[in-house]
Amino acid sequence: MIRSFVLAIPLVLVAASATAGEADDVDCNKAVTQTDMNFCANKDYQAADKKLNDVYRKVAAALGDKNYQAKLKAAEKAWIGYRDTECTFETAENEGGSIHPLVYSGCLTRQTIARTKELQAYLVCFKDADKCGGSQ
Amino acid sequence: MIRSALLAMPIVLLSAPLRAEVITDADCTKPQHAQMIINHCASLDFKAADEKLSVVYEKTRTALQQYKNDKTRFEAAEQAWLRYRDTQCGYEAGMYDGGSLYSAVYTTCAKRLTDARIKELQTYLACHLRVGKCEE
Repeated sequence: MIRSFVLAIPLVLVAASATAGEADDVDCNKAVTQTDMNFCANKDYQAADKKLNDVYRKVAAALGDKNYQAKLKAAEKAWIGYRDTECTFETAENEGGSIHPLVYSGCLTRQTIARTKELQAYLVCFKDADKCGGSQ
Repeated sequence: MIRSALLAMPIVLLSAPLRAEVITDADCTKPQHAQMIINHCASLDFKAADEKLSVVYEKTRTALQQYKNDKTRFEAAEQAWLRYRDTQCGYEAGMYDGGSLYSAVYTTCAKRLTDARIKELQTYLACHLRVGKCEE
């Protein structure tokens, strides 16, 4: 997305979002207003986050060893720190604009999907170290 | 903050085991079987990726020079990413803790995450700052 273009949008959309109601019954296939788009982007993120939590629990259970589980927990905590600061950075140009929740949720979703894949891939490695051990 | 200063510690730690056994003539383009050489080649792979990331990092900082808020957030994101890289690779190599495979698994993980970070920053540069072609 081009910086100057993005900066111009929030000014136009502020008025639209101010009149839109709560978005509980929004059809996310047809979202048009900024409020609806923000709502739908957050919904996508919540779904991705739920999936990540499921995979995380599965990995933690597979590890068994407490010391190893502690390392996973530390890695997850550090990843959350990275996810949040990275998305704050990537969306800094929209800070204060009505489009910010949309782009921020989009960034969180992208990061969360990548993290889910990473944890899933490592679960495979853990179960069968020969598949990706030292020569990964 | 200068990225190389942040990175100084991990690099020193990663290269420390090599000092005891200096390897100068290993051919890392061919499959290696000796663990010492595998560790050495994995370390070289990581260092090459890390140097490339440092270049992209500086390029991004320079491109953000006129956007002070974004630049500050970028530096924070890089620090958070470094913490994520180190704890994630500590976790991935955790099952080899104290073993001869630890070093190779750790640096292979660090290289993989570094390659992904390079791609992430290049996408940001292209899609937000018009440095390169945006393929988002």
